[in-house]
Amino acid sequence: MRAYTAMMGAHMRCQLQYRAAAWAGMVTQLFFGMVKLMIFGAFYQSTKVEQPFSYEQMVNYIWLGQVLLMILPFRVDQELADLIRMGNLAYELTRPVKIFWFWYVRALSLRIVPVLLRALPMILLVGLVFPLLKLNQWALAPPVSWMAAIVFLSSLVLAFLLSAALQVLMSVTILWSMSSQGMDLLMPSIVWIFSGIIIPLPFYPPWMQKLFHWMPFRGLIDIPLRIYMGHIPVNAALGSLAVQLTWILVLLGVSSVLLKRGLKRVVIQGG
Amino acid sequence: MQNLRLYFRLAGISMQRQLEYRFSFFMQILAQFIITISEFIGLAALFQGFGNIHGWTLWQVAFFYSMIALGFSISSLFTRGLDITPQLIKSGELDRYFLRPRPVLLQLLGFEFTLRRMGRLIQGIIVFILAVVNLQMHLDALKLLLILWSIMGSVFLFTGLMLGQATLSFWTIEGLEIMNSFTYGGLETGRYPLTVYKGWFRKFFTFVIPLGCVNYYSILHILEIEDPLGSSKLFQGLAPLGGVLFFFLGLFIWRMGLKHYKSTGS
Amino acid sequence: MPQIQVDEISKSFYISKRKKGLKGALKGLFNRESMEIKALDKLSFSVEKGEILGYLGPNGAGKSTTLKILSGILSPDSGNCMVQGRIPWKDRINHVKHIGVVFGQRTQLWWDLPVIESFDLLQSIYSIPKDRYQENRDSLTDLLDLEPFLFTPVRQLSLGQRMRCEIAASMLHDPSILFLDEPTIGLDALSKVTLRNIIKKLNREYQVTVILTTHDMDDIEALCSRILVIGKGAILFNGSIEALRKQLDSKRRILIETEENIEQVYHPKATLLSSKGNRFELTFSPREISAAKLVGDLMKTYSLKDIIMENPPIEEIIAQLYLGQKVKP
Repeated sequence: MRAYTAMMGAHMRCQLQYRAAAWAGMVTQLFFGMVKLMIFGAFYQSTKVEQPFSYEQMVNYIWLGQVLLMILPFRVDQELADLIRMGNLAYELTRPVKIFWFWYVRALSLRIVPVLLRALPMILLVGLVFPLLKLNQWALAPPVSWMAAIVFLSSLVLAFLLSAALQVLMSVTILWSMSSQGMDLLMPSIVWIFSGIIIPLPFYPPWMQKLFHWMPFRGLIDIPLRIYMGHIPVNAALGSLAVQLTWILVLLGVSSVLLKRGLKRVVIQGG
Repeated sequence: MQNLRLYFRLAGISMQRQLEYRFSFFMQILAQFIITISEFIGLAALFQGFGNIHGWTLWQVAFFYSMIALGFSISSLFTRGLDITPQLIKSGELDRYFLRPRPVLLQLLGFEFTLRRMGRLIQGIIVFILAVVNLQMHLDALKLLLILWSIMGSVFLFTGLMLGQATLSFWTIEGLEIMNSFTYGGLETGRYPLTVYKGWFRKFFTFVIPLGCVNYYSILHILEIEDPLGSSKLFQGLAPLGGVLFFFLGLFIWRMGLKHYKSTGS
Repeated sequence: MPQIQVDEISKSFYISKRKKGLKGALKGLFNRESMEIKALDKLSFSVEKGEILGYLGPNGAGKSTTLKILSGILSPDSGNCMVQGRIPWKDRINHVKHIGVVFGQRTQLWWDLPVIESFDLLQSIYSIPKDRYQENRDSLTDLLDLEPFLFTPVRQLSLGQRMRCEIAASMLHDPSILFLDEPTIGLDALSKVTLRNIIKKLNREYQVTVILTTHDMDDIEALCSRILVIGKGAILFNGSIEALRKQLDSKRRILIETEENIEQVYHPKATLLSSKGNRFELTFSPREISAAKLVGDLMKTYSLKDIIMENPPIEEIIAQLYLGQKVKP
């Protein structure tokens, strides 16, 4: 156990060093948040028809999405991919730990640290400074209730675990294809659309929503955010948490089996 | 002239290299096409719910959307070398470009003519055709010329932005993400007519980064729509020049960056 | 006037310090201290046409900074440098037409292309006239024995083969100076010997000046007419290997075997280290007595069957230099 926490700690510290990246990321995420706010603001001004979210809910959704943006597993863990491609996996195998969990904690820190680094200053800005500047219509409101806050936090933890599970699955597939390019190209697109980060899922046509329903990706953004703003009421939220948990277990199971087989292949090939 | 010949030579070789892995090449184009077309599906879904945005209809916005997509994707075909400049700096490989008796920028542009980015271009063309058909536009010679002029302006604009990004990497590699605000942010912003944005934002994207010039104003002329912001027809027609000027500004900044690189080496 | 003239060149870099641990990393988010590193400190030297200069120094001594300045990639903070009458960083494009550079750890060839296509591309890049190019390519192919893999993609070459191609690639445009940065790194013994012979031949047949950095002392002994050792940005030694040997006060060993059994061997300027039967091991300091004089003396006194003179390995001498023993030329 200690090996894993130590590994996670070390990896998190490495990530913390990217100071400029964090600042630049924050500015960029704020910028995109503004653009989206203006576009949706214009959309809401142009219609009298009832929408899946109210404008106030939409503002919350946009800001939380920007704050949590880095939770999405956009790309393959490049360091790990290089390790595999260069055939240096043997080193990993010499360590007295289970590779799978080693990779999993690695993936977790890869997802958690960038969010943590950027989240706090951004929340302070859009949640506290904006209301002080009388920019209320652009400010992030608190969760709808204490219960919603608690369920949101649990859902957020599950979202991190789910994201790391997807990340590990991506790493494992490199063992099979030996190229991270395909994954690197496909994943961002899938994640962009199916997580609900570009456009909230309830705004899509019904047939597409059915498709989203059976995918793990809504557990990353759609579920936690809609719990926060009360679009999924607290009593229905437990079901959503169960969906997230199920996907975590399924993905972990699949990738651990794939890893075991993949390692055998690689070892036999002498990689 | 000789430089231009060399560029085509380098670009040709890079294409040959990419075509060697034919399967992954087509997969990549397809993947990019699917991503970008689903972005458009998302946009269409919003119009289904909201009906219009400040009076603009789906196909009008689709026209804006396709024009900016065309400019962005054409520029992205040959700016891959600028994209990976930070990696080249990190690995020290950029030094090799300095050791050859040709402009560094030319060599970087020749680094790769990225065929897989055709996916976005194809998407842009499809959305463009859909918009033209649905708007029942009559494309006469003058309009076609304006369309080309406007796309050219945005190709120059985005290439200028990429130059800025590559230049910035002479100072910071980590902080580069900030340029996404202007490159991808510009692409996102340009998809909607400027009128949906606040005044300060409109000014920024007209006078600082002349995105509105290569997109909004010239497109009004093409769509024959009176500008709610009150610009003249003459200004609308000349506006894409802003993108060209912006490119030369980028070039100037790039030269300064090269000087800085020579004095610090990183 | 020498071909390369370097006058009091200085160059500093600034690196930021990071503190340890989580706290340090968080602090680093807001401010960072930076530290000045003097890569070169008033460095001066010159190189004549046709020399093979060995450029040595421990890691981080400023070797690659010097090479970068000489090849026009970097400008110094102060000082002057003339290469064939040009200031390298002032007129980069014109300058690099006349130099060739090989980095042992990187490639200048196109990874996926056959070697010959990389050469063709370099022809375009350097605008080498067609007949000149063909002549050079053919003679280099001959000299470096590239024929067998001229049509193989670079990624499939062995390191030794690739290094030969790299050197050929950097010679296509008739440079008058060749910078070789650790060209033998990672090569096997045979490839190293081959490469050394190639460098010698190029130097002889094309009259190209070679500046060579390496950590392999055998390279130096096999190739260099002169060596330049730098440490912490300043010159520690500049001269021939023999001169370096002489200047350093290192003891040398001599092994002798006498015809008849004797108890002891004695010479006032040498010390007996050990004896075994009629074999004796002595040390002496070249400053007190020359090797020739000592051998002469010993031969006069004793009847000798065999003499073995040992040079201290050049590596040891250089290591002594690195440790801070500055030698006066």
